[in-house]
Parts: sequence; C-alpha cells; structure tokens
Amino acid sequence: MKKLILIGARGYGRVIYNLAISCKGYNTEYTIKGFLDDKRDALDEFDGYPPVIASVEDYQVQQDDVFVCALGDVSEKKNYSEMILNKGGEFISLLHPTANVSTNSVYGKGCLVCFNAFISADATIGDFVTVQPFSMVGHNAVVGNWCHLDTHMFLGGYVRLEDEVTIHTGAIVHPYKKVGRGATVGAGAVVLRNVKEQTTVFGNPAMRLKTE
Amino acid sequence: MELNDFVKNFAEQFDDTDMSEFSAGTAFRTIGEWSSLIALNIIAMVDDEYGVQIKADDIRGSVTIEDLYNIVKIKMQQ
Repeated sequence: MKKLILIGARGYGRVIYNLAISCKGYNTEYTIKGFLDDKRDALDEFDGYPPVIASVEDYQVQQDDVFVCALGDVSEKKNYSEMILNKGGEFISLLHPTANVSTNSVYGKGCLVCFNAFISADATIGDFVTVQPFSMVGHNAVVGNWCHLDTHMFLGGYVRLEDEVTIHTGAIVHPYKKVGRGATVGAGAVVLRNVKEQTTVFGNPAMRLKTE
Repeated sequence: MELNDFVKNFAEQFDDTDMSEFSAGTAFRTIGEWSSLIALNIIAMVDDEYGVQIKADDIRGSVTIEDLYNIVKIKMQQ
C-alpha cells in the first residue's frame, strides 16, 4: 500500500485531503501519511486531519511515498512539486468518483480532478493540472502542464491552453481559442479572442489588464 | 502603427480563414467566416492593441481592412 503525502496544509490542502479520502484508491491503493508544510501549526485549529510531517524542503522521500500537490497558485504548485520530483518523489492523480472523463480523454500524472468535473470527449490534459469542482473541459481541448482550472469554469471545444495557465472561477473560454503560456483569465471573464502569454485578461469580452 | 501589423492583428481574430487571404485591400465582409462576433473581437483588438475605441459604425463604414486602419490612425492622433 502506498502512502499519500499532500503538499500544502492550508485551506486548499484540507480540500484536497477530502478529495483523496473520497477517491476509490483510498485504503485500496494508498493510505494518507500527512501533509508537508513549513507552517507546522497549520492544522492546529482543525480536528480530524493527519499531521503536518515536515516542510517540503526538509522532507526525505521514503520508498512507499506518493505525492499530490495541494497548492492553488500555479507557480507555487510548480515550485514545490519540482522540489519533490528532484528528490525522486512520485506523483499520482486523484479522480473524484463523480467526475466524468469521456471517451479517449486522458490526463497526466499529478492531476487533481474534483467533484463533478466534466472532461468531454477526446480532450488531452497534461501533468499537474487541477480541475476544480463543476468545471467543464470541452471536447478535443488541449490543456498544458501545471494549469489551474477553477470552479465552474468552461473551456469550449478545441480550446488550447499552454502550460501554467490559470482560468479563474466561472470564466468561459470560447471554442477554438488559445491561451498562451502563464496567462491568467480572471473570474467570470468571457474569452472571445486568443490570450497572449504572460498576460491577464478580465471582463466580457475579456480584455487585457494593462500593467502600467 | 504599421499597416502590415494592423492587417495581421485583424486576421488573428479569425479561426478558420488562412492568413494568406488577408491584405490591406481585403473587403473583409466578403470573407465567409465574417460574423458579428468577429466584429466585436475587432473592436476589442483595436482597444487592446491601439488604445482607441471604435464603434460598430466605423466597421460598417469600412469596406477594406485599410479603410478601418485609416479610421484607427485618425483616432490615435486625436
């Protein structure tokens, strides 16, 4: 039996703990060993969770360990996951039993697919992608590594997200549109045009937020 | 603002029409893919890239991409 360790014991860590104990692999493929977080008292106010074992920086990977990263921010998720990868740690994906993954759709390692998420036909999702509750990925969509797809967001058919894209709560990306690497789509935005890399768009129709 | 860049930015609002079909003299409403949604995207693109607001009437009053380019150019000078 593998021992699952969650990276991050803050609010999102507690959410993903609940995902982990809801998945069919719990107590059949893995038990839960605890959390890694440099805030060792992160769970002191909360009952019913396994312990914070160590910081990610200090933790020595053990033979039966497997990991998921429970951090909502894309750059933090990448940073801390790579720390564990560099120590030889192995990541698994968690798929909630109510999530629907359609014919020919695939997702990579380290993904979190939450309650009632829907991944339509022939979609390709990379590694370390978070698909939050009730979010929908359209048919033939391609989602790059490290992306964060927040609750109730929608990607139309044939949408392409490059790596490290964040789609915030309730946003809509129109079919066939492309969102460039590291871009952010704000909550409730309606993306009708391609989004350039490393930019933030917001509103309906989604417009680039100027930095100056 | 360069005319060639404007034509490229204009063309990027289309999903299915090949880039080679766009030039300054293209009568854009004759392109099969042209739609009210693309017109909205052109207005958003001009705002994003050139910092000026055009209206549906500006698009309606233009035949070619260069016609619209000239309207944007005048607005940028105002």
